[in-house]
Amino acid sequence: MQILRQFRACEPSITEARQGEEKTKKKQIASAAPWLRETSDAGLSHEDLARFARQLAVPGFGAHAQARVRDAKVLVVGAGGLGSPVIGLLAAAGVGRLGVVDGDDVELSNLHRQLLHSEAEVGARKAESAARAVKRINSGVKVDVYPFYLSARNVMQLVAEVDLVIEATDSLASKYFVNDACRFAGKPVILAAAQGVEGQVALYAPHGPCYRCMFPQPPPRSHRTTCQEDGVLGPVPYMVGSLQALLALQYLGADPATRQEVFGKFLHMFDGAPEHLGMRRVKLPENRRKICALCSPTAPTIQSLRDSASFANDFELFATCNVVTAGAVPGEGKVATLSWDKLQGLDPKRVLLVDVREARFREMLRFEGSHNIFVDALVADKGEQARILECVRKQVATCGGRRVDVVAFCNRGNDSKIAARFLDTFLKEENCSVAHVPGGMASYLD
Amino acid sequence: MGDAADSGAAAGGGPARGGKRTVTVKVLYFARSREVSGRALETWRLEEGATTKDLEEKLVHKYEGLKELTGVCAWAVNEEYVDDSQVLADGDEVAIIPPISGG
Repeated sequence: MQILRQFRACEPSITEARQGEEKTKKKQIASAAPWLRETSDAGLSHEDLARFARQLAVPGFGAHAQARVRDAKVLVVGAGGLGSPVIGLLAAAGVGRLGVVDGDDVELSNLHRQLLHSEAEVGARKAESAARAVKRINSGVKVDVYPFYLSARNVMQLVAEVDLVIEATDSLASKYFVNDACRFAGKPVILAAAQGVEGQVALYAPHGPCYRCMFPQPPPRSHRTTCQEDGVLGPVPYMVGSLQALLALQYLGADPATRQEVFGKFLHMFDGAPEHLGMRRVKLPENRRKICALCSPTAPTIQSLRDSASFANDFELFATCNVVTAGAVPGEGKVATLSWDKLQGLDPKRVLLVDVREARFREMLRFEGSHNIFVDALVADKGEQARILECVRKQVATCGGRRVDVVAFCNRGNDSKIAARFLDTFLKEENCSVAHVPGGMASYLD
Repeated sequence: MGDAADSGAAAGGGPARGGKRTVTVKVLYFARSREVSGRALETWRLEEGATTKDLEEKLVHKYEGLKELTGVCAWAVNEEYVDDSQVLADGDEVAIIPPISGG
Protein backbone atom coordinates (compact mmCIF):
# COMPACT_ATOMS: atom_id res chain seq x y z
CA MET A 1 0.00 0.00 0.00
CA GLN A 2 2.80 2.31 0.96
CA ILE A 3 4.59 1.56 -2.29
CA LEU A 4 1.46 2.16 -4.32
CA ARG A 5 1.01 5.56 -2.72
CA GLN A 6 4.58 6.44 -3.47
CA PHE A 7 4.15 5.36 -7.06
CA ARG A 8 1.03 7.47 -7.44
CA ALA A 9 2.86 10.39 -5.96
CA CYS A 10 5.47 9.98 -8.69
CA GLU A 11 2.96 9.98 -11.52
CA PRO A 12 2.63 13.72 -12.13
CA SER A 13 6.35 14.13 -12.34
CA ILE A 14 6.62 11.26 -14.87
CA THR A 15 4.02 12.93 -17.07
CA GLU A 16 5.72 16.26 -16.77
CA ALA A 17 9.02 14.68 -17.68
CA ARG A 18 7.49 13.11 -20.79
CA GLN A 19 5.99 16.37 -21.92
CA GLY A 20 9.34 18.03 -21.45
CA GLU A 21 11.02 15.32 -23.48
CA GLU A 22 8.62 15.78 -26.38
CA LYS A 23 9.11 19.51 -26.43
CA THR A 24 12.86 19.03 -26.65
CA LYS A 25 12.46 16.56 -29.53
CA LYS A 26 10.29 18.91 -31.55
CA LYS A 27 12.78 21.68 -30.99
CA GLN A 28 15.60 19.48 -32.25
CA ILE A 29 13.74 18.68 -35.47
CA ALA A 30 12.84 22.31 -36.05
CA SER A 31 16.38 23.44 -35.56
CA ALA A 32 18.06 20.59 -37.49
CA ALA A 33 20.68 21.60 -39.99
CA PRO A 34 19.10 22.68 -43.30
CA TRP A 35 21.33 20.29 -45.24
CA LEU A 36 19.73 17.26 -43.48
CA ARG A 37 17.26 16.00 -46.10
CA GLU A 38 15.12 13.13 -44.81
CA THR A 39 13.74 10.30 -46.94
CA SER A 40 11.36 7.47 -45.97
CA ASP A 41 11.57 4.79 -48.67
CA ALA A 42 8.18 3.47 -47.64
CA GLY A 43 6.68 6.94 -47.49
CA LEU A 44 5.93 6.87 -43.77
CA SER A 45 5.24 10.13 -41.95
CA HIS A 46 6.78 11.17 -38.66
CA GLU A 47 3.46 10.40 -37.02
CA ASP A 48 3.47 6.91 -38.57
CA LEU A 49 6.97 6.32 -37.21
CA ALA A 50 5.87 7.33 -33.72
CA ARG A 51 2.48 5.63 -33.67
CA PHE A 52 3.64 2.33 -35.15
CA ALA A 53 7.14 2.31 -33.61
CA ARG A 54 6.60 -0.94 -31.77
CA GLN A 55 5.28 -2.90 -34.75
CA LEU A 56 7.81 -1.37 -37.14
CA ALA A 57 10.50 -2.74 -34.85
CA VAL A 58 9.25 -6.33 -35.21
CA PRO A 59 11.72 -8.30 -37.36
CA GLY A 60 10.00 -9.24 -40.60
CA PHE A 61 7.47 -6.44 -40.24
CA GLY A 62 9.20 -3.21 -41.18
CA ALA A 63 8.52 0.01 -42.98
CA HIS A 64 7.44 -1.59 -46.25
CA ALA A 65 5.02 -3.92 -44.48
CA GLN A 66 3.55 -0.93 -42.66
CA ALA A 67 3.14 0.93 -45.94
CA ARG A 68 1.35 -2.07 -47.49
CA VAL A 69 -0.95 -2.24 -44.45
CA ARG A 70 -1.60 1.49 -44.74
CA ASP A 71 -2.56 1.11 -48.41
CA ALA A 72 -4.76 -1.95 -47.80
CA LYS A 73 -8.53 -2.19 -47.92
CA VAL A 74 -10.13 -4.81 -45.72
CA LEU A 75 -13.77 -5.85 -45.45
CA VAL A 76 -14.79 -7.19 -42.04
CA VAL A 77 -18.09 -9.07 -42.00
CA GLY A 78 -19.46 -9.00 -38.47
CA ALA A 79 -18.68 -6.42 -35.77
CA GLY A 80 -19.38 -8.62 -32.77
CA GLY A 81 -17.33 -11.07 -30.70
CA LEU A 82 -14.75 -11.84 -33.37
CA GLY A 83 -15.20 -8.51 -35.12
CA SER A 84 -14.32 -6.54 -31.98
CA PRO A 85 -10.70 -7.68 -31.79
CA VAL A 86 -10.38 -7.82 -35.58
CA ILE A 87 -11.64 -4.29 -36.20
CA GLY A 88 -9.99 -2.81 -33.12
CA LEU A 89 -6.58 -4.33 -33.80
CA LEU A 90 -6.58 -3.60 -37.55
CA ALA A 91 -7.59 0.01 -36.94
CA ALA A 92 -4.89 0.36 -34.30
CA ALA A 93 -2.32 -1.19 -36.64
CA GLY A 94 -3.07 1.36 -39.33
CA VAL A 95 -5.01 -0.51 -42.02
CA GLY A 96 -5.90 2.26 -44.46
CA ARG A 97 -9.50 1.45 -45.17
CA LEU A 98 -11.89 -0.78 -43.22
CA GLY A 99 -15.33 -1.82 -44.39
CA VAL A 100 -17.59 -2.95 -41.56
CA VAL A 101 -20.66 -5.03 -42.39
CA ASP A 102 -23.21 -5.85 -39.70
CA GLY A 103 -27.01 -5.66 -39.80
CA ASP A 104 -27.43 -6.16 -36.06
CA ASP A 105 -27.95 -3.62 -33.31
CA VAL A 106 -25.83 -3.65 -30.17
CA GLU A 107 -27.55 -5.70 -27.47
CA LEU A 108 -26.90 -5.99 -23.77
CA SER A 109 -26.04 -9.66 -24.25
CA ASN A 110 -23.18 -8.66 -26.59
CA LEU A 111 -21.25 -6.68 -24.03
CA HIS A 112 -19.61 -9.57 -22.19
CA ARG A 113 -17.40 -10.21 -25.21
CA GLN A 114 -17.76 -7.40 -27.74
CA LEU A 115 -15.44 -4.78 -26.31
CA LEU A 116 -15.77 -2.48 -29.31
CA HIS A 117 -19.22 -1.57 -28.01
CA SER A 118 -20.27 -0.12 -24.68
CA GLU A 119 -23.39 0.28 -22.57
CA ALA A 120 -24.01 3.66 -24.17
CA GLU A 121 -24.22 1.98 -27.60
CA VAL A 122 -26.93 -0.56 -26.72
CA GLY A 123 -29.62 -0.17 -29.36
CA ALA A 124 -27.27 1.51 -31.85
CA ARG A 125 -26.39 -0.05 -35.21
CA LYS A 126 -23.43 -2.30 -34.59
CA ALA A 127 -21.60 -1.23 -37.74
CA GLU A 128 -21.93 2.42 -36.76
CA SER A 129 -20.88 1.79 -33.16
CA ALA A 130 -17.83 -0.07 -34.50
CA ALA A 131 -16.99 2.83 -36.82
CA ARG A 132 -17.10 5.23 -33.88
CA ALA A 133 -14.76 2.93 -31.97
CA VAL A 134 -12.35 2.89 -34.92
CA LYS A 135 -12.29 6.67 -34.99
CA ARG A 136 -11.52 6.76 -31.27
CA ILE A 137 -8.65 4.33 -31.73
CA ASN A 138 -7.14 5.72 -34.93
CA SER A 139 -8.79 8.69 -36.59
CA GLY A 140 -6.64 8.21 -39.68
CA VAL A 141 -8.47 5.03 -40.73
CA LYS A 142 -11.17 5.44 -43.35
CA VAL A 143 -14.25 3.44 -42.41
CA ASP A 144 -17.03 2.33 -44.73
CA VAL A 145 -20.13 1.52 -42.71
CA TYR A 146 -22.50 -1.12 -44.05
CA PRO A 147 -25.29 -1.48 -41.46
CA PHE A 148 -27.02 -4.38 -43.19
CA TYR A 149 -26.59 -8.11 -43.80
CA LEU A 150 -24.74 -9.44 -46.78
CA SER A 151 -26.86 -10.82 -49.55
CA ALA A 152 -26.29 -12.10 -53.04
CA ARG A 153 -27.32 -8.65 -54.24
CA ASN A 154 -24.60 -6.69 -52.45
CA VAL A 155 -21.79 -9.05 -51.56
CA MET A 156 -19.87 -9.13 -54.85
CA GLN A 157 -19.56 -5.37 -55.05
CA LEU A 158 -18.28 -5.09 -51.48
CA VAL A 159 -15.82 -7.93 -51.89
CA ALA A 160 -14.53 -6.68 -55.24
CA GLU A 161 -13.30 -3.42 -53.72
CA VAL A 162 -11.00 -4.89 -51.07
CA ASP A 163 -7.67 -6.73 -50.80
CA LEU A 164 -8.78 -9.07 -48.03
CA VAL A 165 -12.06 -10.21 -46.50
CA ILE A 166 -12.44 -11.23 -42.87
CA GLU A 167 -15.48 -13.28 -41.94
CA ALA A 168 -16.19 -12.64 -38.27
CA THR A 169 -19.88 -13.36 -37.78
CA ASP A 170 -21.43 -15.95 -35.46
CA SER A 171 -23.29 -17.56 -38.34
CA LEU A 172 -22.22 -20.72 -40.10
CA ALA A 173 -24.41 -19.80 -43.05
CA SER A 174 -22.47 -16.57 -43.40
CA LYS A 175 -19.18 -18.47 -43.38
CA TYR A 176 -20.21 -20.60 -46.33
CA PHE A 177 -21.71 -17.61 -48.09
CA VAL A 178 -18.70 -15.33 -47.66
CA ASN A 179 -16.40 -18.20 -48.63
CA ASP A 180 -18.34 -18.65 -51.86
CA ALA A 181 -18.37 -14.94 -52.66
CA CYS A 182 -14.62 -14.64 -52.09
CA ARG A 183 -13.97 -17.65 -54.25
CA PHE A 184 -16.03 -16.18 -57.10
CA ALA A 185 -14.22 -12.85 -56.69
CA GLY A 186 -10.77 -14.44 -56.35
CA LYS A 187 -10.17 -12.79 -52.97
CA PRO A 188 -8.45 -14.22 -49.89
CA VAL A 189 -10.65 -14.65 -46.84
CA ILE A 190 -9.88 -15.27 -43.18
CA LEU A 191 -12.73 -17.28 -41.67
CA ALA A 192 -13.15 -17.92 -37.98
CA ALA A 193 -15.62 -19.19 -35.42
CA ALA A 194 -15.68 -19.35 -31.65
CA GLN A 195 -18.05 -21.42 -29.60
CA GLY A 196 -17.99 -22.50 -26.00
CA VAL A 197 -14.28 -22.55 -25.25
CA GLU A 198 -13.12 -23.58 -28.73
CA GLY A 199 -12.24 -21.67 -31.85
CA GLN A 200 -11.16 -22.20 -35.45
CA VAL A 201 -9.42 -19.84 -37.82
CA ALA A 202 -7.91 -20.17 -41.28
CA LEU A 203 -6.89 -18.02 -44.18
CA TYR A 204 -8.19 -19.41 -47.45
CA ALA A 205 -6.22 -18.03 -50.38
CA PRO A 206 -7.65 -17.98 -53.91
CA HIS A 207 -5.13 -20.49 -55.21
CA GLY A 208 -5.69 -23.07 -52.46
CA PRO A 209 -8.49 -25.05 -50.86
CA CYS A 210 -11.55 -23.19 -49.55
CA TYR A 211 -13.77 -23.51 -46.48
CA ARG A 212 -16.06 -25.85 -48.40
CA CYS A 213 -13.10 -28.05 -49.34
CA MET A 214 -12.50 -28.52 -45.60
CA PHE A 215 -16.15 -28.74 -44.58
CA PRO A 216 -18.05 -29.86 -47.67
CA GLN A 217 -21.30 -30.44 -45.86
CA PRO A 218 -22.83 -28.15 -43.25
CA PRO A 219 -23.97 -29.87 -40.06
CA PRO A 220 -27.60 -30.94 -39.75
CA ARG A 221 -30.08 -28.74 -37.93
CA SER A 222 -29.73 -30.37 -34.53
CA HIS A 223 -26.01 -29.59 -34.51
CA ARG A 224 -26.33 -26.07 -35.75
CA THR A 225 -26.20 -23.61 -32.98
CA THR A 226 -25.48 -19.93 -32.60
CA CYS A 227 -23.83 -18.44 -29.57
CA GLN A 228 -27.22 -17.37 -28.28
CA GLU A 229 -27.98 -20.98 -27.51
CA ASP A 230 -24.56 -22.50 -27.05
CA GLY A 231 -22.76 -19.81 -25.20
CA VAL A 232 -19.23 -18.58 -25.50
CA LEU A 233 -16.75 -17.26 -22.95
CA GLY A 234 -15.67 -13.76 -23.96
CA PRO A 235 -11.91 -14.41 -24.14
CA VAL A 236 -12.42 -17.20 -26.70
CA PRO A 237 -13.62 -15.01 -29.59
CA TYR A 238 -10.96 -12.54 -28.49
CA MET A 239 -8.26 -15.19 -28.90
CA VAL A 240 -9.60 -16.27 -32.25
CA GLY A 241 -10.37 -12.76 -33.51
CA SER A 242 -6.89 -11.67 -32.47
CA LEU A 243 -5.49 -14.51 -34.56
CA GLN A 244 -7.55 -13.33 -37.50
CA ALA A 245 -6.09 -9.85 -37.05
CA LEU A 246 -2.58 -11.28 -36.76
CA LEU A 247 -2.97 -13.31 -39.95
CA ALA A 248 -4.44 -10.27 -41.68
CA LEU A 249 -1.55 -7.98 -40.72
CA GLN A 250 1.05 -10.53 -41.71
CA TYR A 251 -0.70 -11.27 -44.99
CA LEU A 252 -1.19 -7.63 -45.91
CA GLY A 253 2.31 -6.71 -44.77
CA ALA A 254 3.98 -9.51 -46.75
CA ASP A 255 5.55 -9.03 -50.14
CA PRO A 256 2.76 -10.05 -52.55
CA ALA A 257 5.24 -12.24 -54.44
CA THR A 258 5.84 -14.45 -51.40
CA ARG A 259 2.33 -14.59 -49.94
CA GLN A 260 1.41 -17.74 -51.78
CA GLU A 261 4.30 -19.66 -50.21
CA VAL A 262 3.37 -18.77 -46.65
CA PHE A 263 -0.37 -18.25 -46.29
CA GLY A 264 -3.41 -20.46 -46.69
CA LYS A 265 -1.66 -23.58 -45.44
CA PHE A 266 -3.25 -24.31 -42.06
CA LEU A 267 -6.46 -24.47 -40.08
CA HIS A 268 -5.69 -23.24 -36.56
CA MET A 269 -7.71 -24.50 -33.65
CA PHE A 270 -7.88 -23.00 -30.21
CA ASP A 271 -8.89 -25.27 -27.36
CA GLY A 272 -9.74 -23.37 -24.21
CA ALA A 273 -10.72 -26.30 -22.00
CA PRO A 274 -8.56 -25.88 -18.89
CA GLU A 275 -7.01 -29.33 -19.19
CA HIS A 276 -6.19 -28.90 -22.90
CA LEU A 277 -5.56 -25.16 -23.12
CA GLY A 278 -3.58 -24.43 -26.24
CA MET A 279 -3.44 -24.25 -30.02
CA ARG A 280 -3.32 -26.98 -32.61
CA ARG A 281 -3.04 -26.71 -36.33
CA VAL A 282 -4.02 -28.91 -39.21
CA LYS A 283 -2.29 -28.76 -42.55
CA LEU A 284 -4.80 -28.03 -45.28
CA PRO A 285 -4.73 -30.07 -48.49
CA GLU A 286 -2.31 -28.68 -51.08
CA ASN A 287 -4.96 -28.14 -53.71
CA ARG A 288 -8.62 -27.45 -54.08
CA ARG A 289 -10.58 -30.62 -53.55
CA LYS A 290 -12.35 -32.43 -56.37
CA ILE A 291 -15.34 -33.21 -54.14
CA CYS A 292 -15.88 -29.54 -53.29
CA ALA A 293 -19.24 -28.23 -54.50
CA LEU A 294 -17.52 -24.97 -55.36
CA CYS A 295 -13.99 -25.90 -56.46
CA SER A 296 -14.62 -29.15 -58.33
CA PRO A 297 -13.01 -28.67 -61.74
CA THR A 298 -15.52 -30.90 -63.47
CA ALA A 299 -18.90 -30.55 -61.81
CA PRO A 300 -19.24 -27.68 -59.34
CA THR A 301 -22.80 -27.72 -58.05
CA ILE A 302 -22.55 -24.15 -56.82
CA GLN A 303 -22.06 -21.87 -59.80
CA SER A 304 -23.48 -18.57 -58.62
CA LEU A 305 -24.66 -16.75 -55.55
CA ARG A 306 -28.38 -16.91 -55.78
CA ASP A 307 -30.31 -13.93 -54.69
CA SER A 308 -31.42 -13.80 -51.10
CA ALA A 309 -32.69 -11.19 -48.73
CA SER A 310 -30.67 -11.93 -45.66
CA PHE A 311 -28.33 -14.53 -44.27
CA ALA A 312 -28.48 -13.58 -40.64
CA ASN A 313 -28.53 -16.92 -38.86
CA ASP A 314 -31.14 -18.10 -41.30
CA PHE A 315 -30.44 -21.71 -42.04
CA GLU A 316 -33.64 -22.47 -43.83
CA LEU A 317 -32.80 -19.80 -46.34
CA PHE A 318 -29.24 -21.01 -46.43
CA ALA A 319 -30.30 -24.57 -47.08
CA THR A 320 -32.43 -23.68 -50.05
CA CYS A 321 -30.16 -21.02 -51.38
CA ASN A 322 -26.61 -22.11 -51.21
CA VAL A 323 -26.24 -25.76 -50.41
CA VAL A 324 -27.64 -28.16 -52.89
CA THR A 325 -27.15 -31.22 -50.70
CA ALA A 326 -28.43 -29.82 -47.41
CA GLY A 327 -31.30 -31.73 -45.82
CA ALA A 328 -34.67 -30.09 -45.43
CA VAL A 329 -35.72 -28.80 -42.05
CA PRO A 330 -38.00 -31.43 -40.51
CA GLY A 331 -41.73 -30.73 -40.51
CA GLU A 332 -43.07 -28.24 -42.99
CA GLY A 333 -46.29 -26.27 -42.97
CA LYS A 334 -47.75 -23.41 -41.02
CA VAL A 335 -47.77 -23.26 -37.26
CA ALA A 336 -50.08 -21.16 -35.11
CA THR A 337 -48.33 -18.48 -33.07
CA LEU A 338 -49.16 -16.87 -29.76
CA SER A 339 -47.40 -13.87 -28.27
CA TRP A 340 -46.52 -13.59 -24.57
CA ASP A 341 -49.08 -10.78 -24.28
CA LYS A 342 -51.88 -12.94 -25.67
CA LEU A 343 -50.75 -15.87 -23.53
CA GLN A 344 -51.17 -13.80 -20.39
CA GLY A 345 -54.83 -13.23 -21.27
CA LEU A 346 -55.64 -16.96 -21.45
CA ASP A 347 -57.31 -19.04 -18.74
CA PRO A 348 -54.35 -20.69 -16.95
CA LYS A 349 -56.35 -23.87 -16.36
CA ARG A 350 -56.67 -24.36 -20.10
CA VAL A 351 -53.03 -23.77 -21.02
CA LEU A 352 -50.28 -26.36 -21.16
CA LEU A 353 -47.01 -24.51 -21.47
CA VAL A 354 -44.31 -26.70 -23.06
CA ASP A 355 -40.72 -25.62 -22.43
CA VAL A 356 -38.63 -27.23 -25.21
CA ARG A 357 -35.30 -25.71 -24.17
CA GLU A 358 -32.36 -27.73 -22.93
CA ALA A 359 -32.48 -28.26 -19.16
CA ARG A 360 -29.54 -25.93 -18.43
CA PHE A 361 -31.54 -22.94 -19.64
CA ARG A 362 -34.20 -23.61 -17.05
CA GLU A 363 -31.62 -23.02 -14.33
CA MET A 364 -31.60 -19.38 -15.41
CA LEU A 365 -35.32 -18.72 -15.58
CA ARG A 366 -38.32 -20.99 -15.85
CA PHE A 367 -42.08 -20.96 -15.49
CA GLU A 368 -43.63 -23.01 -12.75
CA GLY A 369 -45.99 -25.73 -13.93
CA SER A 370 -44.58 -25.97 -17.46
CA HIS A 371 -44.10 -29.34 -19.13
CA ASN A 372 -40.35 -29.57 -19.78
CA ILE A 373 -39.01 -31.52 -22.70
CA PHE A 374 -36.06 -30.76 -24.99
CA VAL A 375 -37.20 -30.50 -28.60
CA ASP A 376 -34.90 -33.29 -29.85
CA ALA A 377 -36.33 -35.73 -27.28
CA LEU A 378 -39.88 -34.64 -28.03
CA VAL A 379 -39.46 -35.37 -31.71
CA ALA A 380 -37.54 -38.65 -31.30
CA ASP A 381 -38.33 -40.25 -27.94
CA LYS A 382 -41.46 -42.44 -27.82
CA GLY A 383 -41.50 -42.43 -24.00
CA GLU A 384 -41.44 -38.63 -23.91
CA GLN A 385 -44.20 -38.50 -26.50
CA ALA A 386 -46.37 -40.78 -24.35
CA ARG A 387 -45.64 -38.55 -21.36
CA ILE A 388 -46.82 -35.37 -23.07
CA LEU A 389 -49.90 -37.10 -24.45
CA GLU A 390 -50.84 -38.15 -20.95
CA CYS A 391 -50.18 -34.63 -19.72
CA VAL A 392 -52.48 -33.10 -22.36
CA ARG A 393 -55.28 -35.56 -21.58
CA LYS A 394 -54.97 -34.86 -17.86
CA GLN A 395 -55.21 -31.14 -18.51
CA VAL A 396 -58.31 -31.59 -20.68
CA ALA A 397 -59.88 -33.70 -17.91
CA THR A 398 -59.05 -31.12 -15.19
CA CYS A 399 -60.81 -28.35 -17.04
CA GLY A 400 -63.94 -30.39 -17.59
CA GLY A 401 -63.27 -31.62 -21.10
CA ARG A 402 -62.84 -28.18 -22.59
CA ARG A 403 -60.31 -27.43 -25.30
CA VAL A 404 -56.74 -26.86 -24.08
CA ASP A 405 -54.05 -24.62 -25.59
CA VAL A 406 -50.71 -26.37 -25.91
CA VAL A 407 -48.09 -23.63 -26.20
CA ALA A 408 -44.45 -24.42 -26.94
CA PHE A 409 -41.64 -21.98 -26.30
CA CYS A 410 -37.83 -22.04 -26.49
CA ASN A 411 -34.97 -19.56 -26.44
CA ARG A 412 -35.60 -17.77 -29.70
CA GLY A 413 -38.60 -19.34 -31.37
CA ASN A 414 -36.88 -21.74 -33.77
CA ASP A 415 -37.04 -24.97 -31.79
CA SER A 416 -40.54 -24.19 -30.53
CA LYS A 417 -41.69 -23.92 -34.13
CA ILE A 418 -40.34 -27.39 -34.82
CA ALA A 419 -41.89 -28.70 -31.60
CA ALA A 420 -45.26 -27.14 -32.46
CA ARG A 421 -45.19 -28.61 -35.96
CA PHE A 422 -44.60 -32.01 -34.46
CA LEU A 423 -47.21 -31.61 -31.71
CA ASP A 424 -49.80 -30.33 -34.17
CA THR A 425 -49.69 -33.66 -35.96
CA PHE A 426 -49.03 -35.80 -32.92
CA LEU A 427 -51.97 -34.36 -30.93
CA LYS A 428 -54.44 -33.98 -33.78
CA GLU A 429 -56.89 -36.47 -32.22
CA GLU A 430 -56.80 -34.65 -28.88
CA ASN A 431 -59.05 -31.83 -27.71
CA CYS A 432 -56.38 -29.16 -28.00
CA SER A 433 -54.87 -26.44 -30.17
CA VAL A 434 -51.12 -26.16 -30.65
CA ALA A 435 -49.17 -22.93 -30.97
CA HIS A 436 -45.66 -21.63 -30.31
CA VAL A 437 -44.30 -18.33 -29.05
CA PRO A 438 -42.28 -16.49 -31.72
CA GLY A 439 -39.10 -14.98 -30.32
CA GLY A 440 -39.18 -17.31 -27.30
CA MET A 441 -37.50 -16.29 -24.05
CA ALA A 442 -35.51 -13.62 -25.88
CA SER A 443 -38.70 -11.72 -26.62
CA TYR A 444 -40.02 -12.38 -23.11
CA LEU A 445 -36.95 -10.74 -21.58
CA ASP A 446 -36.85 -7.93 -24.09
CA MET B 1 -13.28 -55.75 -34.63
CA GLY B 2 -11.67 -52.60 -33.35
CA ASP B 3 -12.42 -51.45 -29.89
CA ALA B 4 -11.75 -48.56 -27.61
CA ALA B 5 -8.85 -49.29 -25.34
CA ASP B 6 -9.55 -48.19 -21.83
CA SER B 7 -6.51 -46.13 -21.17
CA GLY B 8 -4.03 -44.03 -23.07
CA ALA B 9 -1.42 -46.61 -22.09
CA ALA B 10 -2.90 -49.27 -24.39
CA ALA B 11 -0.48 -51.56 -26.20
CA GLY B 12 0.70 -50.59 -29.66
CA GLY B 13 0.64 -52.69 -32.83
CA GLY B 14 0.52 -56.39 -32.19
CA PRO B 15 -1.65 -59.47 -32.49
CA ALA B 16 -5.26 -58.92 -31.50
CA ARG B 17 -7.51 -61.54 -29.95
CA GLY B 18 -8.31 -63.13 -33.30
CA GLY B 19 -4.61 -63.39 -34.18
CA LYS B 20 -4.96 -60.49 -36.62
CA ARG B 21 -2.52 -57.63 -36.32
CA THR B 22 -3.84 -54.38 -34.95
CA VAL B 23 -2.87 -50.74 -34.78
CA THR B 24 -3.52 -48.36 -31.92
CA VAL B 25 -4.50 -44.78 -32.66
CA LYS B 26 -5.20 -41.78 -30.48
CA VAL B 27 -8.50 -40.08 -31.32
CA LEU B 28 -8.95 -36.40 -30.47
CA TYR B 29 -12.51 -35.09 -30.35
CA PHE B 30 -13.26 -31.42 -30.92
CA ALA B 31 -16.30 -29.17 -30.53
CA ARG B 32 -19.58 -31.01 -31.06
CA SER B 33 -17.90 -34.42 -31.35
CA ARG B 34 -16.40 -33.79 -27.89
CA GLU B 35 -19.83 -32.94 -26.51
CA VAL B 36 -21.45 -36.00 -28.05
CA SER B 37 -18.74 -38.46 -27.01
CA GLY B 38 -18.25 -36.80 -23.66
CA ARG B 39 -14.47 -36.99 -24.02
CA ALA B 40 -11.61 -35.11 -25.60
CA LEU B 41 -9.27 -38.03 -26.14
CA GLU B 42 -9.59 -41.77 -26.55
CA THR B 43 -7.35 -44.61 -27.60
CA TRP B 44 -8.70 -47.00 -30.21
CA ARG B 45 -7.38 -50.36 -31.34
CA LEU B 46 -8.16 -51.17 -34.98
CA GLU B 47 -7.42 -53.93 -37.42
CA GLU B 48 -4.35 -53.30 -39.49
CA GLY B 49 -5.30 -51.57 -42.74
CA ALA B 50 -8.29 -49.78 -41.22
CA THR B 51 -9.11 -46.43 -42.82
CA THR B 52 -10.51 -43.23 -41.35
CA LYS B 53 -13.86 -44.34 -42.79
CA ASP B 54 -13.63 -47.61 -40.85
CA LEU B 55 -12.82 -45.70 -37.69
CA GLU B 56 -15.76 -43.38 -38.29
CA GLU B 57 -18.12 -46.35 -38.51
CA LYS B 58 -16.85 -47.67 -35.20
CA LEU B 59 -17.17 -44.28 -33.54
CA VAL B 60 -20.74 -43.89 -34.76
CA HIS B 61 -21.48 -47.38 -33.46
CA LYS B 62 -20.24 -46.41 -30.01
CA TYR B 63 -21.57 -42.84 -29.93
CA GLU B 64 -24.89 -42.74 -31.73
CA GLY B 65 -24.96 -38.95 -31.69
CA LEU B 66 -21.93 -38.82 -33.96
CA LYS B 67 -24.03 -40.18 -36.79
CA GLU B 68 -25.28 -36.71 -37.59
CA LEU B 69 -21.71 -35.54 -38.00
CA THR B 70 -20.90 -38.18 -40.62
CA GLY B 71 -19.62 -36.41 -43.70
CA VAL B 72 -19.63 -33.11 -41.83
CA CYS B 73 -16.33 -33.25 -39.93
CA ALA B 74 -12.87 -32.64 -41.24
CA TRP B 75 -10.41 -35.41 -40.36
CA ALA B 76 -6.76 -34.90 -39.65
CA VAL B 77 -4.09 -37.52 -39.09
CA ASN B 78 -0.92 -36.32 -37.40
CA GLU B 79 -2.02 -32.72 -37.89
CA GLU B 80 -2.60 -33.11 -41.60
CA TYR B 81 -5.96 -33.05 -43.36
CA VAL B 82 -6.91 -36.44 -44.82
CA ASP B 83 -9.83 -37.89 -46.72
CA ASP B 84 -11.82 -40.91 -45.58
CA SER B 85 -9.69 -43.48 -47.38
CA GLN B 86 -6.59 -42.71 -45.32
CA VAL B 87 -5.10 -45.93 -43.94
CA LEU B 88 -4.27 -45.53 -40.27
CA ALA B 89 -0.92 -46.56 -38.90
CA ASP B 90 0.08 -47.54 -35.40
CA GLY B 91 0.55 -44.49 -33.19
CA ASP B 92 -1.38 -42.12 -35.45
CA GLU B 93 -3.13 -39.20 -33.86
CA VAL B 94 -6.54 -38.75 -35.45
CA ALA B 95 -8.47 -35.50 -34.97
CA ILE B 96 -12.18 -35.13 -35.64
CA ILE B 97 -12.99 -31.53 -36.42
CA PRO B 98 -16.59 -30.42 -36.91
CA PRO B 99 -17.14 -26.94 -38.33
CA ILE B 100 -18.19 -24.55 -35.59
CA SER B 101 -20.34 -21.47 -35.74
CA GLY B 102 -20.49 -18.73 -33.18
CA GLY B 103 -18.40 -15.68 -32.60
